[in-house]
Amino acid sequence: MSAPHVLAKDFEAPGLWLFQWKPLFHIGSFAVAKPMVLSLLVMVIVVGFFWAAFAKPKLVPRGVQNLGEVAYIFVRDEMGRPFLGKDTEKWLRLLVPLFFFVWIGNLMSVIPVAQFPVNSRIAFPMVLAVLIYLTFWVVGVKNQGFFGLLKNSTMPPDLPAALYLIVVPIEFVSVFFIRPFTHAVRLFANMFAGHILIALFATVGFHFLWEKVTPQGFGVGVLGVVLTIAMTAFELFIQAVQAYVFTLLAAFYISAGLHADH
Amino acid sequence: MTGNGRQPSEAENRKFANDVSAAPATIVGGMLVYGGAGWLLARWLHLSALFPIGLVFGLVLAGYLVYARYGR
Repeated sequence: MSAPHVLAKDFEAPGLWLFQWKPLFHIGSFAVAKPMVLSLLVMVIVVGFFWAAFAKPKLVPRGVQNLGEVAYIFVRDEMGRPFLGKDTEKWLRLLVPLFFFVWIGNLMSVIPVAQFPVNSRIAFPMVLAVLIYLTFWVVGVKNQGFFGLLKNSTMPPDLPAALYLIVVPIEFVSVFFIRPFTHAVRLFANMFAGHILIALFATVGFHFLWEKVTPQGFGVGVLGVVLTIAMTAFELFIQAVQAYVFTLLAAFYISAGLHADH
Repeated sequence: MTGNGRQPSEAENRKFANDVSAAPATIVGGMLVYGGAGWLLARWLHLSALFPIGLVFGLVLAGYLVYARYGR
């Protein structure tokens, strides 16, 4: 056996079991596991924070209200207004909690003890994406009518007439079926991959610097620790970006329901 | 997005987002629709070659579509 094989003989890389949790307790026949507890915790944090910030608003904001206003304005100006324009204020009661629910859920990945990104279980982003998809339908049918929505979504203007024969089925599938799917998968896959990477490097560090310390493995272990720190910093960035993209696309899909795509 | 120092309008933002998010979805959609049709025909006519032909046909059509809509 060559040297690397001997070195890594007992090393076991983390796998899918990272994402499989045994139930912590049962409510009736309903099993509650860690990701669900975390998502409830995230909900409490988001509601609690905005409650503290805006329950008794002052004209001149102080303390936590300042922070709350910064958060609100950030979502309004960066994610709402580019697509929703003058309709933004109305939709912020959906977009602001959406952004913070996704972001803090992602942030759970690097918070000690929690250490699990809620959105790396696809059910969570899927529920949010379905919520936005249904909103798109309701708003779309209301503003454009059922057939208006179908026509505006599948028949882009300014195309040669013959092309519509091939465009319509493709656009239909991509707008009504692929869109909600990619919306959820984009968030899920990023959180899933990030969590696996951090876990892998952390396991390398732990294995070679603690469990099986050898002169040859020492460098590998140090590299694992350094990469764990670097990847954690990178993940912090990705978590915020993915929450931003998720909310931005939500605003865009809602705006596609409000107005025809022209 | 426009680069001339002017704030882009909502319509321009929507068009930009639609272009960048719809182009990949169109490619996948094309392969799904025509690949799917090819697969069904392949099963029906017992001609397995129709599935890859449908896939490639859908890919080419969707590629042309992206060009026709966004490339000009």
